Amino acid sequence: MARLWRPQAPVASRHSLLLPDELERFKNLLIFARSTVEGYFVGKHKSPYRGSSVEFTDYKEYVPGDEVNRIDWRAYGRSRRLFVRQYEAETDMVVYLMVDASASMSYAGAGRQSKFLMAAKIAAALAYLMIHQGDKAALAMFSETLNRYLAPGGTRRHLHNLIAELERAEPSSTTGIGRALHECNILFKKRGRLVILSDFWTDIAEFLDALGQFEHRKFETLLLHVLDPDELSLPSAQAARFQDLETQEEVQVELEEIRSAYRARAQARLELLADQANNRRIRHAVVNTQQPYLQAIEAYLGFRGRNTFGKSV
Amino acid sequence: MVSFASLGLFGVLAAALALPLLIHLLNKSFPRFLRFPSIELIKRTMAGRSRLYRWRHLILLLLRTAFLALLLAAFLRPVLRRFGADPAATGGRRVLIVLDHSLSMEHRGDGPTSRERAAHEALKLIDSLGAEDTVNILLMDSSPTSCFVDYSKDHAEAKRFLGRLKPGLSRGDVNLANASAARLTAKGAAGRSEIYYISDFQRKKWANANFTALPAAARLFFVDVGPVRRDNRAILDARVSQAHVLAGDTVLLEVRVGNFSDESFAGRVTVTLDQRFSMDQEVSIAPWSEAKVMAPVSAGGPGLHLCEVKLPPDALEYDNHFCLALAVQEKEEVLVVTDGPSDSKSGAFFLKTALNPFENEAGSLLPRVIGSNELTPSRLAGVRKAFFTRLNRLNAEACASVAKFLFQGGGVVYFLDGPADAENLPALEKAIGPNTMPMRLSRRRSATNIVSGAQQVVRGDFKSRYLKLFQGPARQNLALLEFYDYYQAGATGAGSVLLSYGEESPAMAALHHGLGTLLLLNFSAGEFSSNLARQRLFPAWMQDLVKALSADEPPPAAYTIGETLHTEVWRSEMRDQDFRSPTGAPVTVRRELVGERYSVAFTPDELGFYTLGSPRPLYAFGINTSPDEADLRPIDKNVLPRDFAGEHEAHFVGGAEDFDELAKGRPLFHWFILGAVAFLLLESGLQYLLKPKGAA
Repeated sequence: MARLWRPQAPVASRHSLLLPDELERFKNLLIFARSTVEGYFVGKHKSPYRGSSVEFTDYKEYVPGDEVNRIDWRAYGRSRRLFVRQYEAETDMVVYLMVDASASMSYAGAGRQSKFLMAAKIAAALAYLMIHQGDKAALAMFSETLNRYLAPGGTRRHLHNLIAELERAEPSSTTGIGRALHECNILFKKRGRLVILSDFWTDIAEFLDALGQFEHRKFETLLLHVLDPDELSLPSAQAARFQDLETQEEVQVELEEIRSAYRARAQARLELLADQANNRRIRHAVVNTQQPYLQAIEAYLGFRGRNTFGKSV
Repeated sequence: MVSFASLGLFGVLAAALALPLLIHLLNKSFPRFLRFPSIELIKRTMAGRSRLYRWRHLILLLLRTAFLALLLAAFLRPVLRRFGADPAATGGRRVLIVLDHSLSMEHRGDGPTSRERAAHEALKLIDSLGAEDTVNILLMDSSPTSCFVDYSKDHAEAKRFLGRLKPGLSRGDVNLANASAARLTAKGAAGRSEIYYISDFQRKKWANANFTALPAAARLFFVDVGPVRRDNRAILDARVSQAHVLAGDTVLLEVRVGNFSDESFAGRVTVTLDQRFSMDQEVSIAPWSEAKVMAPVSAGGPGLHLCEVKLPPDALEYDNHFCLALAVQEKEEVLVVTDGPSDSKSGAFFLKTALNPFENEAGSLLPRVIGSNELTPSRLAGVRKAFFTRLNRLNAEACASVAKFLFQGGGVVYFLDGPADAENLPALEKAIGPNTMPMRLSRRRSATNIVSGAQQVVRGDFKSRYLKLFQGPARQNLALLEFYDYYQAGATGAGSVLLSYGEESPAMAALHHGLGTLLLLNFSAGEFSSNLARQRLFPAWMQDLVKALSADEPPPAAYTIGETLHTEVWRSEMRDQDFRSPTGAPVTVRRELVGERYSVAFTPDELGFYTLGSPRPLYAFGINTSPDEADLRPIDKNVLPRDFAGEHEAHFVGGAEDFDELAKGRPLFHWFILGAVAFLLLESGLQYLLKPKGAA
């Protein structure tokens, strides 16, 4: 159930560097995260919070063999997917959130939020969910390299810090997922879940090759492919002079001349990444800036069911 | 070369050509500046397009511009300039139509005659003229005539002139026509003068055509209206083989027939006399050849006889018919002048008998024997031939009379068998002129003092018409002749020696004085002087000499149409009658009275006989076509403009040419519209093919 937002006093200590408007955004993101997650689960008539119950702390997707009486039918009615209640002992995961903070993530289509903001909001929501479910969340932001890393934590303080980082970040520089992954591989001590929020405008082969390290360490990886609709079918215009946000390179084009072919190429690229990810048992989901966050949440939830490899949404 | 008749609109229309470019530029979107996450995919997509697709805008722009250019250019009235046409030129045209009106144009090769085709083309040409254009028509024949004195805007009258055109029967004279054309065109500005030669371009007529008299600025057009097949047969000439035809003679008519076709001709030549008596003669002529047909014709009684020679009809009939007037004379009186005896053994007797061997003087010659003392101008005026034998000394008056007789065309055969011949010859030479006698006599040789045998002729000029009886195999007849009496003589170099004895003395010689001929026979016809009179050839030879002793060319029996005819008639003969044309219409003649005779001249314009007098004509003139018009082969078309036109702008055009196009050029409006439509279709098709797929 949504709660009314009430202004609160800025959090002291490590967030004292945030400016007032940053603090304001931080509060918004926190509230957003909370409302999103709780709102999601309201429909399921279940609380996302871990309570005193030792039976139920989390949901996981049903797999054959699970106890049928633990299936949450309300969740099924809502999502058409089978979830079972999970005990507290079944969680206690570390979820590493890697958020792309390169310049390409700053793109925002007409009337839409930027990809980075969407990614940040999703990361905040997921972090909120994880922490409130007893998991630990870590945050790594990267662009050309790893820019910022917040070690895993499960406290509210940690959540606030995480969100503050997200609020503070400004997308810039080029996309260097491969290099960031190499650096993260050293930093991520404990095996866990890896959620990468990016537009993946990078060399796919190089990226997947870098991801192989985590595969080898048996990380469960979810790729949340954040895209603006313009990146799939080009903006509405007769002619445009495009400037690459990362390289500053420019090209002038009659959009109608190439729209159809571009769309096909973009879709093909998307499918290539999805296929390559599937081949590596890596979950891939597309998050459209025009679509609600629900899908991102569901993707994560589905991801928690490790045997399910849903299609890109 | 394409030019435009309405160039005044060019400025306005040229501005409109900028429209496609302007629209292209306006439609060209000003690009939005967009920062995009990654342009890599965009670049790859652009690189994947075909070159045609990439250049699409430029190609379409060019096609649209071309479409508009052709469409606009169509309104500038494009024309294809041919033959120097100047569609933008202002001012009226001056058109001279030189229409071939000669006989060859009457050939009916492919149906209509060439003249009818020419008139048709001329009408088309006149129809193509504007109201400001002037025209004149010049008929090209033996005497060119024009429709107007000067160029005229009265096109209707010009057409009527063509409608009244009658068949042309005379010979066409191109240079005469060009001279007339030069006079006509010289009167005004020659800048826009156009001269159209509408003809069948018969080779003989055009081979020596000269255009230098024409203004240099005049444009010349040659319009060929001749048929494809130009076969023709014609009677080129017909004449009597002898100068004078005497009543009762059977003369040979020499008919020259031409076959001007690719096929041989085998047919008949029909000779008709006075429309009553006719006879046929077979003739066979190879392609592109001429043949001479000898047709024997019985002359009939004295007077004029109208002789016609005909061939079977063909595509050009006018030259298949030949008319000639045969003047048959009464028996011709021939004087035999002798001072010797006229007994049966004398030369005079043999001579008289040889000239008319028939009983009751039934032959055509009437020999009259007189003495040399009767040799007076009045006595000689009634004859044209005289034989001298055994003459005494001729006095100066007699010599003068003989000289005058010879000068006026008389013929004398002088047997040098008299005692005074050695003196007579110098006396005659004195009367005729110095150094005119072909031989000089010296000693008389007679049978009594000839050393051995008789003299025989060993040498002669057998091409002479006086020796026709000794030509060819007949020469052996000379071997039969023996001469016992003759003069030793020497050739002087004057005149011509026709026969010579073995001892070099001339046996026969000729001299010409004025129109007449004096034959000197250095022998005698007497019985004891030679064996000549006893030979069968003697009468024939003597009669042949009479025939041959006329002037070299007999008066023409036939004339060519279009040529002015001159003759003299007695004043009394024209008192109550006129010359009549072949159709019986009176003919207007020019006449001038000279003494008692009229000198008459007229130009015949009809074929057939022009006569004076009826029912039997006193005078008759056969009018025929020119033989130059018989061979209808055309001149090489390429030669005419190139080699004959000189500096003139000249063009050879077919008979089907549009004359409006010749003058103004061929309009290309519809081609420009078609071209514009084609470009439009191409642009539409290209736009459809290259339309971006899935465009919003």
